Amino acid sequence: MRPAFAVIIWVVLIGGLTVYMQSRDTAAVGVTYKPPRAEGVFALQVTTTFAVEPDPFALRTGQTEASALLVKLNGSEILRRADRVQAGTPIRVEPVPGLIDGRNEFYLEANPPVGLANLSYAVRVQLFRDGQLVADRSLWSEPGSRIASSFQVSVTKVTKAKDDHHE
Amino acid sequence: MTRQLLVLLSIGLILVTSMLATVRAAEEPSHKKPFILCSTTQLADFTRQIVGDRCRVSSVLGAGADPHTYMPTPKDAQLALEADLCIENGLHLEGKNWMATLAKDAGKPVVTATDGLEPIVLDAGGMKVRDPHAWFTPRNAALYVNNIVRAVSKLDPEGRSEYEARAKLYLQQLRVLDAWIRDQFNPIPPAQRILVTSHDAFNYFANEYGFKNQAPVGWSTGSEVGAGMTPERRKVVVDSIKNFNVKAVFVETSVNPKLVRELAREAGVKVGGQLYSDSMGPEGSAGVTYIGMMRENVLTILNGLQ
Repeated sequence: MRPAFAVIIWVVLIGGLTVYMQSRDTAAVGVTYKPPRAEGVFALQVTTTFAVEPDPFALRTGQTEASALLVKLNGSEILRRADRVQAGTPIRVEPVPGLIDGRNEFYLEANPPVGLANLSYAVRVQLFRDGQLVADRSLWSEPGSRIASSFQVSVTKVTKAKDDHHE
Repeated sequence: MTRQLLVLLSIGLILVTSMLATVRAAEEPSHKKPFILCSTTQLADFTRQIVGDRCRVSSVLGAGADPHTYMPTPKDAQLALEADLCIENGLHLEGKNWMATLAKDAGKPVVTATDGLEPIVLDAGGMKVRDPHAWFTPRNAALYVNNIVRAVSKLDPEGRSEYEARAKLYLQQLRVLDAWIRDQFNPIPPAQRILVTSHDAFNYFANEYGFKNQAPVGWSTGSEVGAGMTPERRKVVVDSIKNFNVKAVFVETSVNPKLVRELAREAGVKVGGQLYSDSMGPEGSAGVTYIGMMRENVLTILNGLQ
């Protein structure tokens, strides 16, 4: 009887230990907070002072291809051009997906022609809300290098006025 | 009896815990680093920039060695046997394809770093030869880097994000290097941009930065088609030096400098310095990395021609 009892305790202990070891590394399921989406119709307009071209120095893994112009909003890609875009041509994204109330971060990469080594380049980025300009930034490069820059834009929550007027 | 039971349980617990620990250790990635064997010093540098300390990287050729005439040794064969991946330049830079042969004999995968390149085609006595010295422009170096990233990511998929992150940084360094080279050569008038070197290794560099390239020895120092020195080629080079008022000629680290020194005496010009060509510099020298090698070459050319 006692040896059988010892074996049962042994099995229970081993089983418990095994279950614990296996479950130890299982990541706890996190709760993700989704901030509220900004209200209104947003448009983003990007204008470069130079012709953007696909980057010969881009990482090409087969999954990501070289881009000439890339804009990300809060880490998600909202604009990618792999073709040549003439200088001064406004490129518009409307509506802008993923804008939230509060702080938003835009990241922009623009690739100038390789041969022009001594020039600095600029990109103008404008954000419109319901046709009204809410942010206007110019991003500059070092001479000869591409533009890779980020900036933040705060979008204020629209507070609807309560209609307290009664006839 | 109770004491015996407790002893038994304790021994059992210790045994099980150590067994589980062993199983867990076996599940963890092996601590043995993958070993990558490259044919040239340039390829080894590109690979090191991408893999960091995650892999061991070695080069068959040492500083100053000539890939065209190199004969592999038994030690190289042993290295190939130990390797998980072999990387060659391709385009017959490795004379008689010695790197591909080493890898094949060892049964190891070999990746060609120039895959996807549009090579410069040279006219070698009526024969068309693809110029293998493609690493001489940062733009082509970026292609090498991308091919190597894909190869090492396939070899070690768990390290992919790390390799890609390092490669992104290195590609930006190559971009800056390219812009810097253009900026440095800008003060030299195009008519004076004549580069006379030991062998015909600088065609990609010359094309990219607006130089006319001349060399008494063909694309290879070996015995392949279009390789070596011919009296006609030598005469063309001497005439060019005189006609274009070339200020200096340059010797290469991996080629015997005797011929270029003779040419300089014959044409009455100075030897402008030594350029890193088919291999990079030794440990402790400025040319021990690709970027250092290119930087020093540019400065040597500038000092010689200005």
